[in-house]
Amino acid sequence: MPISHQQVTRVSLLGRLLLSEEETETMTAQLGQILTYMQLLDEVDTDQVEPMAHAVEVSDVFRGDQLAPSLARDLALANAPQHDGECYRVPAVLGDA
Amino acid sequence: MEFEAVIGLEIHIELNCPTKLFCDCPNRPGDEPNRNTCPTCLWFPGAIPRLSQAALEKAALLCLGLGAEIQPRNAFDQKVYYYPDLPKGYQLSQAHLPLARGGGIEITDENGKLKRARIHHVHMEEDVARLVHEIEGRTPISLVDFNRAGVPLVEIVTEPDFSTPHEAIEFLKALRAQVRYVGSSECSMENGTMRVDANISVRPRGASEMNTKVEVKNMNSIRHVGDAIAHEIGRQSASVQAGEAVTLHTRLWDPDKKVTLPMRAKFEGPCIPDPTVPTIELSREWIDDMRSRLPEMPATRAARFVAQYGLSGEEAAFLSSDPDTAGFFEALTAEGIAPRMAMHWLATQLLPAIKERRQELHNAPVTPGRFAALLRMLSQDQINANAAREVLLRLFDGDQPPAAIVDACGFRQVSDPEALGALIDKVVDAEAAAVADLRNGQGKAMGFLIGRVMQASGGKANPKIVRELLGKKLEAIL
Ligand SMILES: [Zn+2]
Repeated sequence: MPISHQQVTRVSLLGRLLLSEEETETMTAQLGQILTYMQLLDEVDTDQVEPMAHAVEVSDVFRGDQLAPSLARDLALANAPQHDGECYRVPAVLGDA
Repeated sequence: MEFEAVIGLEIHIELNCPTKLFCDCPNRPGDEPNRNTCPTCLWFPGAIPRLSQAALEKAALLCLGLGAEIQPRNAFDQKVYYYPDLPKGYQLSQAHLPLARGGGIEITDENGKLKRARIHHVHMEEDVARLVHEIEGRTPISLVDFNRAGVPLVEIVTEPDFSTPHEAIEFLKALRAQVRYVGSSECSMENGTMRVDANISVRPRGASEMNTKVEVKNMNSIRHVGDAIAHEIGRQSASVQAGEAVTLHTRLWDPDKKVTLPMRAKFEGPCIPDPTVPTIELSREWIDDMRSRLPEMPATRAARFVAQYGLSGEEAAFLSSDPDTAGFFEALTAEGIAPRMAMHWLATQLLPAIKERRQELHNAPVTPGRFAALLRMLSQDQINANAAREVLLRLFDGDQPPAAIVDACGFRQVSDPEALGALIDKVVDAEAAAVADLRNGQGKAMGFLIGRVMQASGGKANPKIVRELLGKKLEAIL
């Protein structure tokens, strides 16, 4: 299998997806099939091919540093489920400074 | 068992360009919360990040100052992690194709030996939002301020080339000086414009393999970085000695307890190429143009100070460690002040006075012109050193020229031979005993007599002229 049960558990944790044991099994098998299929690419000789950094062939799009008005604060906070008029309020994530 | 430490540093520096990295909001994270935001830096879906040219230039100058090689092609990646300071779920950072690689700084180890600390790479990235943790009733909540979200950062990653806290401190001081010279950042750990993480591992002295490292964060001064590293080396050495394994994790420095404490790990995901920010292709001409904008760097300037002004290596290094101080010193010498006098008065009087007032040299009321005018009066014996110190303090209170303060306070020295001669006559008459001592070969009495004359003048007599006149007078009567 190109992906382990353990790796799927870790990826689901990173993606904040709660998978049951059964779902993890299914995902491990399905992701394994997808990855196996993609291994077809390994047959191509890419020694002489420069790695691609970007999908679009445009580069050097820069912005002059001209200040523009920011959003009014009440507007910035308007869509927040909770705020105190100054900051967004979110459930605490403990254990960090 | 004797241990040695292997230390690498990761330094985040906030660039001081006017706008954020990818939008037109002001780069002022300290403003009132959430005043400097827009759809791009609130990371709304669909907002298109556009790279700041000034940030790219300031980052490139910083790299070139460190001797790092600007990469002809660099690009941004999405560094995936989930945390409330990054609601879009990824940070734009350069994980695969960084702005620059290589470079380094010469530092001196504890024994004064030169050592090169190498830089692995330098990359650009956006800062994340600031979180304030609070307890409301019994519920812990976090308040999120997006002023800092999207602020331009560079991260400098060193090779694990340090083996002591001293070396790390030396490197950070030199790095700070260099970045200030190129004008890319103020690099203040106190204000958060420079943040340092240290990766530390220990191994038996002389061993070649690297052991598991621990990352230490949350130091808010260069001194704390040294303290945290020293503590962590001790802690790891003790646990290895006791047969415990060091596990890979992150610790926070507690400056009050002076210990490092474990912190809960953030789950970090993969880095994938970002499809929204186009790649950055930097031509040889562009890089050369940036290089031509580099100022004289601290080490070169220090060497020139030794050659040009006859300063000691230590004095030159002190002056050149900060561009404002070095510039002020050269402005004084341009005003005709002798280099040694300029160095001495700057280091022992002006800089401490400015620090005490929590001001900055570049915008303090004591300008090079006013300070030079004061020192000129001192070197021309119009005032004595005590008066000069007094006038210096008064220069902070207004914009009066030093001469006006000297006159208003009656500090001007008396050098007139006639007026001083009369004082000397009086003192010699009154102090017959001391004159008799001198006659008996007791040289000490000379100092006593000079002191008496100074006292009689209310401290204003020019001591050089008093000595000269008194000598003549005594020669005549002895
Ligand atoms: Zn913005």
